[in-house]
Amino acid sequence: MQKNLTDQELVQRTLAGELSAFEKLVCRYQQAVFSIVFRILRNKEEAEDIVQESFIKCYQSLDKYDQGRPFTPWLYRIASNLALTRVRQLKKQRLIPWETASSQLADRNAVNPAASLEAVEIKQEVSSYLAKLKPLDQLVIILRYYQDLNYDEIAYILDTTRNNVEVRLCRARQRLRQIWVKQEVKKCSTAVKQKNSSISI
Amino acid sequence: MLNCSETEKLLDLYIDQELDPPTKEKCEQHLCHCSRCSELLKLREQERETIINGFPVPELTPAFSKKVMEKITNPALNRTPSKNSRLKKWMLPLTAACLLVMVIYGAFSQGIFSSPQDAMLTDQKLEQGREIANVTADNSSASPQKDVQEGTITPEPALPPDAIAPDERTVNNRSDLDTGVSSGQITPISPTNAVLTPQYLPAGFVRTSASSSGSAGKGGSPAICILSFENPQTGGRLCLEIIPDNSGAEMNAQDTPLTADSQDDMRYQLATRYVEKNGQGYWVRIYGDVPQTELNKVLDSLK
Repeated sequence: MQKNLTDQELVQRTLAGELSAFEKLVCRYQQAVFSIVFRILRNKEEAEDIVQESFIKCYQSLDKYDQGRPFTPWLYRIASNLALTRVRQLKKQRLIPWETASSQLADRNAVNPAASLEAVEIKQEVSSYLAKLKPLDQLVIILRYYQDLNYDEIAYILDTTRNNVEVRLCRARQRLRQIWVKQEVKKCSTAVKQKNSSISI
Repeated sequence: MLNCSETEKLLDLYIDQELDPPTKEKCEQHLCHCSRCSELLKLREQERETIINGFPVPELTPAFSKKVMEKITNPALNRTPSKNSRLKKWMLPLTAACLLVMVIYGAFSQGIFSSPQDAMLTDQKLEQGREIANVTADNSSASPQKDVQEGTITPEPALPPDAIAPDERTVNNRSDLDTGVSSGQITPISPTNAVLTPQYLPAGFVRTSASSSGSAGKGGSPAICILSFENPQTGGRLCLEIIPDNSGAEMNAQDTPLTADSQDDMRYQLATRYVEKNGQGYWVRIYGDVPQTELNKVLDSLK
């Protein structure tokens, strides 16, 4: 029966002083919040800190939450704002920890090593392409593709209009495709050069 | 009916299911008839799949929620990570630097470390103290060895001016006097308290110190008064010793002064005189690196 409690019910119980209800909300959404924040910050420790801070802030301002709206966009909004603020701080300090996401994520269950290597390469490419976008454009892509949120929800999280989200998303995709094509051309030219050098030898 | 260019612009919205029903229907009609746009749609869907699968995220540990709840229940642990990590970067070196400064300052102020100059001065003072004690014990028959050891008589040392540099001399005189005062050996007196005071001093000489030792009239050792004079310009020194006659000491002109080194410099002149004041006799001795006539003038002016 406890498992079927909705987000709103858990929020109400938390507001009534039942701390375990909030712990259920944390368990339910910690991975989702972490996946947004990690994809923006690309550093596990930094992301964990921001996720913790997000839940603490959420708990402290739970009385301001409009229970007529879904809970997750409100939570994502808090986490996104904190993550973007942190990115700006890190960029100012020039300490941004651009870890390669794939280095932490070796596909250990892969049977075919060659296939695994190829998969890791694709993952590296996608994360590096995304890293070349502006943080806000990255966030739009992350919310759309990875969290599968609709434009209205994204607009609420970014505190903007639906049209703005549409334009920003369109621009981010175009930029991503340009980067993609550029990298593919580079790869092709490198392959051609290697082929030519092997023929001359 | 939409054309290819219009349909291409709507493809992303179509995949995202963000088109309104009439536009969606028009788009689907075009896609049914246009193989190029259908092919483009497939490419866009593949692209979407690549992006979705292309950036996985590590899993959080189950203990993470416990950590969050701990921070919520214990506000003392609740710090913003950004501030925390920024503090971490400079707080540790700063604290270490402060501690280091405090330790070094404390060590020097407590004298654990001393400069070579300080060490040299300390050695000189110790050496002077030893010499003075020996001279006093050997030459003053009125002062038993016991008194010297107990430190009841420790006259001011009168070192030859060449023995040490002028600056060091000043430091030594002051230190010796301070040390004596703190240990109760020498009692500084004001010039007006001295039994006999010279009315004449050689040109350029000023009084530098006046002290007495012993406790006259109370069964203890008689009070011996020592007055020191110095010429700051030439570094010349004068020492005047006034010893009451009832002390038992018999002073001759050849006697070595109480405070003088046994191997005194030949430039030092010495003069001795017996003076009476208020029915009390005093042996007065003066010595210093001034002509004998000057010493006699000083003795003549005693009142």
